[in-house]
Amino acid sequence: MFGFELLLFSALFSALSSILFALATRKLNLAEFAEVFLYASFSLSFAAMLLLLHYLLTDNFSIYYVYAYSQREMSVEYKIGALWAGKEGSLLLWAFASLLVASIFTNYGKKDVRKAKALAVLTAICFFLLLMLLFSNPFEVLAFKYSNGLGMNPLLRTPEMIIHPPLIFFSYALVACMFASHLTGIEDRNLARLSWALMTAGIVLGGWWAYRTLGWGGFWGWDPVENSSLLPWLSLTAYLHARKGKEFFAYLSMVFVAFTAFITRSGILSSVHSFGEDPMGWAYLFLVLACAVPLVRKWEVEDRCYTSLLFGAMIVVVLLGTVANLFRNVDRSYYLITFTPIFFATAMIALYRLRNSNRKLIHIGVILLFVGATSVWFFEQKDTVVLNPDGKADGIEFYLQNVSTRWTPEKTIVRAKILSSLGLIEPEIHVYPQSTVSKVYIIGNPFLDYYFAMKSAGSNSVELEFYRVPLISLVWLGSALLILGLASQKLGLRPRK
Amino acid sequence: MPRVSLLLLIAFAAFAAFTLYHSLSSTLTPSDLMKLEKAENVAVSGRVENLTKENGLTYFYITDGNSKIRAVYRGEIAGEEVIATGDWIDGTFYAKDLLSKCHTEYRGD
Repeated sequence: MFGFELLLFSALFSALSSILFALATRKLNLAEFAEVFLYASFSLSFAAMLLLLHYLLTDNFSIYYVYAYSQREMSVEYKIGALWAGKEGSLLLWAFASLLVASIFTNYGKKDVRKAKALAVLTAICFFLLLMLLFSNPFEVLAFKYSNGLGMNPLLRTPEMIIHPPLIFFSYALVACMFASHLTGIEDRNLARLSWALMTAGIVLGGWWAYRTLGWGGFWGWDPVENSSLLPWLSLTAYLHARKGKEFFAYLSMVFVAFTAFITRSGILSSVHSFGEDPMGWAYLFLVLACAVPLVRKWEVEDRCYTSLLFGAMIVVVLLGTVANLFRNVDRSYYLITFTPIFFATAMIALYRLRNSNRKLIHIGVILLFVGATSVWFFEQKDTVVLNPDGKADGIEFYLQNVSTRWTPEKTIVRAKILSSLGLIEPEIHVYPQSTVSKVYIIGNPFLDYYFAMKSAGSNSVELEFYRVPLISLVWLGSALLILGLASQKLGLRPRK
Repeated sequence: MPRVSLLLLIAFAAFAAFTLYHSLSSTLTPSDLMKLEKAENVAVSGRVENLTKENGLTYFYITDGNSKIRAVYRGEIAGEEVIATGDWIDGTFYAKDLLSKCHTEYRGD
């Protein structure tokens, strides 16, 4: 299929670019050719993405990827989301983001030997991703053409699917850029800030999405994928606080990005055995180890406010739990017991140093995030109540007014209209051909969210699962301040010292 | 990092490892469950198959590729891979809680 050829040449040009950038350290004018190959590689990857998007939007089910992740009845936004719903598509997005970052980085600052060296490393990483793509081809053709596809996982058919993956993969591309530039002595704090901003936004949006999805464990489920995405964030935050030896955290962030890829793509989550059989798993493990090489030396790190110790401790806790989770079930209590004290210490130090801080907004955000998160983790309550058609639980009265059904080509929507002493509650169940999704209804105030999910619905009765989620608003407010705080700083609104 | 900080970090890591060790449990596979006559409050992980619904209850099978066990849960099930917590009595698994795993990794092909 034509798309595969685009990827093949994109990979080839990345490789050539990397080699030429490396040779350019002896003969600098070779870098001009390396640049051209980089732009060519980027253009071809972009074209490949557009081609896959075209196949999705035109319902071309002869392509396996389109068949597996899309269907006619899906709206346009979800067909776009399907572009990165599967591992091939998301890998393409990641490669595209990395090539875009590399192309922009080339023209940002001086074009000297150090830049050429950094680009040699960065384009090598791009080549690695494209190489993986060749073995994970999104343009694989089916032997025969189905009239409709299987559709994207219904749990992913939400607006967050359009924004969350691009945020995360662009932040990872910037981490790779940080990694490459630090290897050659180029230090630009803006790379770290931008990566941190995008990563924070991506993780927070992920938490918001998980919160609104029943079965995903609340806003932070401590599962291996969420945890592994937290690791580069912790490392980046430590980087931003380090005075001396910050390269350590730049390299560590990249190791964790590679580790996240390893966790999600090697098959190790299904079982340790399936990982062993898949050569791709070993390839990602190789990436982790290769990126860890610069870490092996004697380090002297100087930081502000014990941040390296604090974030280092958080990294240790999350990493231990995540690796253990590959082999065994890890009870949530492990994280609550070990993570909370460090989080508490961090919030306390942020509070104590707030007066002298140049980044007041961000650190107020940290404190609010701590209060909100621990409040939810320790004091959330769950209850069930059957309404036939009325019911009472926890001092709240419910009355089921009606249960209605609505049909769309994509799904059947069963909606309950419930009157309560809290107000109107309208949870839904969306029934797809292959599965069913619960759409929760939330009544929130600044102090408490009442979170309702329909467990089952009859014509005149409904079983409701409901949660009291205390102070979750502080989680969102705190997170928003993290991002706003950085943005206001960049816009020059920070207070003068 | 100054030596005191490093020692603190190592001490903390030891504490974390100790806590972790006491927080581990195995999820059972359907094959494991079939060997037991009865099990209370256990976690089973596997793939969901053959969903049918009746009276607000969802009847399904959990499989690990080798064995299939009958299960029932009060509520909706989303996703293909789940971790179900509940009781195994007389050849049926009565699930009280369900965690769906399907967002955590990409579908293999």
